[in-house]
Parts: sequence; structure tokens; C-alpha cells
Amino acid sequence: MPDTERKLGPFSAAPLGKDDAVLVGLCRKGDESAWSDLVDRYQRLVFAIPRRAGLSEAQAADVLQEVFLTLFEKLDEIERPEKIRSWLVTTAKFKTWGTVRRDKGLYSPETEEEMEFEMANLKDDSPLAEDALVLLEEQHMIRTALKKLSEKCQKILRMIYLTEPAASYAEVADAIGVGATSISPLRSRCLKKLERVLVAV
Amino acid sequence: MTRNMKNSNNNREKIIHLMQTDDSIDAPSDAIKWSKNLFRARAAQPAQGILQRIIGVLVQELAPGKAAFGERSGSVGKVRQMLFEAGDNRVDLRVSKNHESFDVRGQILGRGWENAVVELAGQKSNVDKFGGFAVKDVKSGTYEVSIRGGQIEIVLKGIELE
Repeated sequence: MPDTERKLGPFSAAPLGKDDAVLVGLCRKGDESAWSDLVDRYQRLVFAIPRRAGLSEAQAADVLQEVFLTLFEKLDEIERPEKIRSWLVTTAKFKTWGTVRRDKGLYSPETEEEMEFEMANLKDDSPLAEDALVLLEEQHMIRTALKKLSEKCQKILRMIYLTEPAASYAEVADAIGVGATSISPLRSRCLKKLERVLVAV
Repeated sequence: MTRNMKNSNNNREKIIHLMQTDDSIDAPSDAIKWSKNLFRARAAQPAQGILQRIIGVLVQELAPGKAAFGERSGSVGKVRQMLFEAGDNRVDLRVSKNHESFDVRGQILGRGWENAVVELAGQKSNVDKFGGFAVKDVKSGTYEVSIRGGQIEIVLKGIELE
């Protein structure tokens, strides 16, 4: 299965890729918690791919399980563990596409080679067009990078950008125990930190 | 505004936009749990270098002079036949008396057993390409038959030769 790397705007996969390589290395040595972390890290991205293609929740869960089973079986064979994200996305795309084909009663390739050939001829306006996958990958990277920030930064950014409706500066200040006037510079600093994790320097 | 500052502002705007449009959700908890358990399942399997021992279970035995169900009495032989199940494999063991001792022949029905080593009463023999093996001139007694191929060993216990 190819680990086709997609260009992700200004973001660099390198810093997070190093973490992935460490996790894969630990898995290979038999570290169960590393495998658990790997599943936790990628379950949402892998699950989002079949869902975005219109599969039901149950079908998407099957795709997720197939993807992790394949990863588990090929754990020792993956040559570039730092590219595991691309590998997972491509594998999820293949398996999603196979399920979509089977649902429509169409021929579904049995082997990876056949699948790759068929995939290469897909129109880019398919539900799994490259643009859609890039968006999902970028969002995944931001979620992962966000978790690398301090608890305080995570809280500030989540309250301001991820709650609906967005929390006011007074509410955020209250939640983290600082004055309301500190929130604007803190928000700005936390965003910079997030950017630094994501953008290659 | 310098180009770097402009780029940085663009990056942050993009980050905020991506955060706010992220409508992905967690996979169902049972699917996540299943995926995590894959590792535990592998850990439970024998690691390379560790021998996996499978104890054969006797599923059928035909004593000499006794007809099997549905078999004509005329076809009854002098060979004692035992059929064992061992994981995905089956072992057909046949014991015949040879004067004061016994000859034990067998066939392992399963894949990858060619050249496996069979050990019985201190004697060793190799499994041929058809899965067959033979150990001759074994004195009466109760023995264990060991068939070892790679990291797997099948053991047939309590084989009475008398």
C-alpha cells in the first residue's frame, strides 16, 4: 500500500512525523501503550474518511477496524514509519472505496495492486478527492498539535475557537484564573505556539 | 508588514479556520477498543524463538480386530489406528506389532511439516513430503510422541504400546 504524501499547505508533517516514528518503533518492540496511543491519535482521522465518503457509522467502523488490522499486520514491514499518517489515509481511502463499490454491486478489487490501478483512474470529484483528504489531514494535524500545548493554552484556544457559541474573554479569564485583559495576549501567544508546532522552521 | 509576518498571520488564520470547521467525531468506542485489543492478541501469541506446544487430542481409535462403525468385519486389520487433532492439524497414528516390539507409522495432515522431526522412545525420524513418518522396533511401554517443525511442536501423550 503506498504512503502517498499529500502537500498540506504551509504545514509540515515532519515534527509530528517524528513522534509517529517513535510510536511505531515502540509498537514494534511490543509496547502496548504505544499502540494504544497510535490508535487514539489516528482513530478520528481514519473514521472521518469513510464518513466523508457517505458510508454509515457501522460501515465506517468496519473500515476503521480493517485499517488498524492491516497496520497491525504490516507493522514490521512499513519502511517509513514517520509517514504513517499518509499510509493510514491511503489505506482508509482504498478500503472505503472498496466498500462503496461493493455497496453498489460493482467489482471490488481483491488485491492492493488492482486497487491501486483502479484508484489511479478515479475522477478527482469523487467523495474522496484529494482536496477533501488534505483538509482531513490538516485538521488531524491541528488536533494533534493542540494536544502538545500546555493545558492552559489548550483551554484558551478550545474555549475561544472550539465552543459554540465562543466563550467571551471574561469567561476564559474566569476559567483559567487570570484577569480578562490577559486573555488577548495569551490567546495570541498560544496561537503562535500552535503555529510553531505545525509549520516547518 | 514584512512577508514573514504576513505569512504568519495567514497561517494563524488558516489554523483558526481549520479548527472551527473541524466537524470530525470520534469513532465508536467499541471499534476503538477492538483495534487496541489487536495488540494484546498478538502479545498472547508466541514470540519468535519461543516454542509453541500443541497437545494432540485423541478423537478416534480403532483397536486391532475391531471393526469401525459401518465397516465390514472382513476389512478389520491388525493395526491399531489412532486419530489425533492438534490445532489446525491432524495426526493419523498406526501401531502394529512386530514380534516383541512395535512399529509406529503415522501421517500428519497439515501444512509445513515436511522435514519436521518425530521423536518417540529416544528414536528420531523425519516427516517426508507427504507428511508420513515411521519409527520402528519400539519396546512395549507408554510413550509420548513429539513432532517438531520450526517453532511448533505437536505432542501426543499416553501412547500405550502393549
